[in-house]
Amino acid sequence: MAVATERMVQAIEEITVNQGVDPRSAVLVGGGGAAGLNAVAIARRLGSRRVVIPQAGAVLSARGALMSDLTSEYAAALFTGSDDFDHAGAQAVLDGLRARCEQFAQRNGAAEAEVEFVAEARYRHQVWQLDVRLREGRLATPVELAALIEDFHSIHDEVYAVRDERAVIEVVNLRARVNCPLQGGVEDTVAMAQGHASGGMRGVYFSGIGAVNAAIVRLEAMTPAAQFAGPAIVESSFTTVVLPPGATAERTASGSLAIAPGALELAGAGDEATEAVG
Amino acid sequence: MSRDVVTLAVMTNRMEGVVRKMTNTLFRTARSTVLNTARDFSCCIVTANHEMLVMAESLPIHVISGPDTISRWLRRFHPNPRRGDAFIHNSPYHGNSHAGDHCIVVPVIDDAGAHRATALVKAHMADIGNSEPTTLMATARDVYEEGALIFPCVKIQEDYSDVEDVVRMCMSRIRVPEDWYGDYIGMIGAARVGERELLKVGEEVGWDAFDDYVADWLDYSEERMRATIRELPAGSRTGHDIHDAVPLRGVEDGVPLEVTVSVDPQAAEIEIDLRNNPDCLPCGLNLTESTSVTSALIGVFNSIEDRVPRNTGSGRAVKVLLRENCCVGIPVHPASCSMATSGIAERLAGIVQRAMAEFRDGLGMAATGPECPPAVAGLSGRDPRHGDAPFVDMMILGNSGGAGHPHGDGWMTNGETSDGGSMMRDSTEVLELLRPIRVWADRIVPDTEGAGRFRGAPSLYIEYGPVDTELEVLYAADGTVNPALGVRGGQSGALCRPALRRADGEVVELEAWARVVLAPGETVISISSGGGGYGPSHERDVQRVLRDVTDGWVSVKRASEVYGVVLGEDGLLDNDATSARREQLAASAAGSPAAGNEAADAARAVHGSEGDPVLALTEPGTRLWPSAPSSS
Repeated sequence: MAVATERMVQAIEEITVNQGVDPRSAVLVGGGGAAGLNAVAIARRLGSRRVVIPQAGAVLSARGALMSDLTSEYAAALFTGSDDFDHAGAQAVLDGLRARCEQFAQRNGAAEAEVEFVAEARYRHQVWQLDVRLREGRLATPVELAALIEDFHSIHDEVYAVRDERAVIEVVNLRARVNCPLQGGVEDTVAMAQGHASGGMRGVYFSGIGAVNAAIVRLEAMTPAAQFAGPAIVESSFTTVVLPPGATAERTASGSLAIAPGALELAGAGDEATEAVG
Repeated sequence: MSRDVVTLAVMTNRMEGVVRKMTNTLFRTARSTVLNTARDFSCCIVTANHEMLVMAESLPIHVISGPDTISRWLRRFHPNPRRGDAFIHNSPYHGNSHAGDHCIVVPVIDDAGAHRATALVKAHMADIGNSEPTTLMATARDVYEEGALIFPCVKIQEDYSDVEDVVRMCMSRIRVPEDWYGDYIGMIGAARVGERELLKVGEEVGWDAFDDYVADWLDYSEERMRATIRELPAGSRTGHDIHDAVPLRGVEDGVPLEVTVSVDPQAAEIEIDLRNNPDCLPCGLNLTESTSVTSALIGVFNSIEDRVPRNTGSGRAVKVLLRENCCVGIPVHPASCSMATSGIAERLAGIVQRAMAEFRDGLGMAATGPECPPAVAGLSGRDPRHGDAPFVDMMILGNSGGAGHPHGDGWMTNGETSDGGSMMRDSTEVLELLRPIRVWADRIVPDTEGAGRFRGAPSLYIEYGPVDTELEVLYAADGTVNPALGVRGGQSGALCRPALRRADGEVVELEAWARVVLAPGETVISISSGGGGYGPSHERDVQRVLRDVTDGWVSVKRASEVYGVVLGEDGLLDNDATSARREQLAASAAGSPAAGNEAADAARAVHGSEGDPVLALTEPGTRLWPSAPSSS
């Protein structure tokens, strides 16, 4: 289990730290049927201060598809460098992307739509790009370009620990994303199964701690917003969540489980449940 | 304290994660294709006691041995490194692989000021300021003629800021300095990411626990290695090979090489004696201490089970005997080691693999194709698409050369043995975007594999040239005379063949060591060496032979003559004829051709009198798969 946790941590760091996202300031969401077994352990290693196991976390993707806003993304190639920037060309591409976004919103009868623009940029002769959000969604003027350049240097520094103020910055692609919020159609939650009660204690072995008595808690029977502390095992119709000693949790109004993982205990292998006995 | 294997695995995963983050940083930020596409660089972590700890997927030739020695020199030259320091290092006389690899060395200093570990990034640069625009100079008579700036652990950052004096020296001496600077800060970024991550580890688990982990991991690696050696047969084998001649006095007859491998299962030790080899050569072929030891170890690691961790711990069970002033040993200033990561290094690993194979069927490997064909070359010129901006780069495109081994065929994309398949090949499209060149052909050459029970990889045919400009190409090709050797009855791979196509279409042979300036309309033709085969070819699985024929990699004629697999008029397997032919081959089977004239003659005979498939490929309008059966 400790090894599986470490692998998950490395995989998450690949898509967070390496992309400039600090997992310590992120909420870890546990999806899939087995996430509850070591989500808290992963969060502790990542330094995330909150874990959410959504009510329908075991079928996260399917549920997500049902409740998401309508979005679409459009991209267009534009190759130009900061030493001789094609302002007119860039703005024309952005205008074209905005028009396609608005058509999408219109076609789908959206009452409101937000459009956000991103430039894929790099230092000249690099072959991998970084995404830079355009503050005003425009590149028509040297001032708007200067903002892009400043933001690119900062993101490059954040992600790769260095910046190169002398280098030309190239824009390779421009992208636009349109977001149309759903108009009150779908329920946020699914109906809770009735008739389950929390029940009793069970002997559970946590490596680094030993055998302890853990409360067996039924998610459906929990009082929303009431805090309770590990060690505990939360069971629902969808999944099972292990709450090691030191972690606290509450059921949210939407039926999800929100967990504060508690302090990271050292030596890596420490403190997750490796097997449940009894 | 008894070993906690879970902590060991968790920490090792974490350390490898650190190295991967370093790798990702340089890969995504570098400016030269040799780094941002071919990934010809390595990252690793060295302990405060100068032990190689974790290398993840780095190139073996860069890191198995070398970073440990560099760490020692660093502390000798800079006894009290401070946080924020970074050092540039490329000295072949102080633990580096060759001058063409720049290292950025960052000592990781804890809050109390103690040196706890070292993050090291080593990258094969597009240019290092040599007298010619290449980092691989076989024909340099000494380090002066090579001409690069040599940095023996020179401080290039203090308090996380550049020491501008040193950066200015590089910017004044290295071609296309802006690109060098871009690659340099990418390396700095990678090393700083490693430093940041290691400091985090120290903060979280404590430095004493970290030191305990290091000791445990290295001991565990040593035990795994010794357990593996205990299973090997006892004895001693001496192997030979010859590196092709270089057109300089003293090397005009080639370089004969000898290695003795002794296995002592009782002591659980392997000893590799490299001392009976020529003195340092008056050319750029000399190995460094780092690449002598590493190439020998690569040969060993390639010959045993692949789950033994490669680090200082497992290295303790292998003793490599070197002597000073030896071309396969410890070079003495001013000997040139420009080619120390390819040329002789490839031959050396091959001899060790073949010697290991001689102990017992099921061990070792054949030799991989010698390096480097003209599609692995220093390219330079001016790009008319960007206002004639100058460029210089290392092209890594046209080598295959994988060797047959006891369990499978040679890798088509092996490249060099020294990189263990870790490098990537350039992307044709990216290369054409970044440089004013076009790759006109990129194909497999039929009938070039070293035949065997498991065959070597066939040769690659690459043809490329400039677009609307001139292109300077520098390459150093071993293997135009001495092929990749087979083992245990396996055959040699085909020879490397450099050629040039003039603008009027005429194809002429090129020298093995050449500096060519191509005019618009001219192209270089690069045919790489094939890899050697393992075991007798008539023992090759019939289905594998049939697949090679179907794929167009082996002709019907060669399938019959060399593999004893006979096809009828209808193109289907003729079982009776195959059995008869295989019996005949088994009765007359000889061993693998020996290094020297025997192997050279055998390799040439493959494409002797009729139907030379290489020449056929150079004909304009040649079909991509000349020997493939036509599909319906």
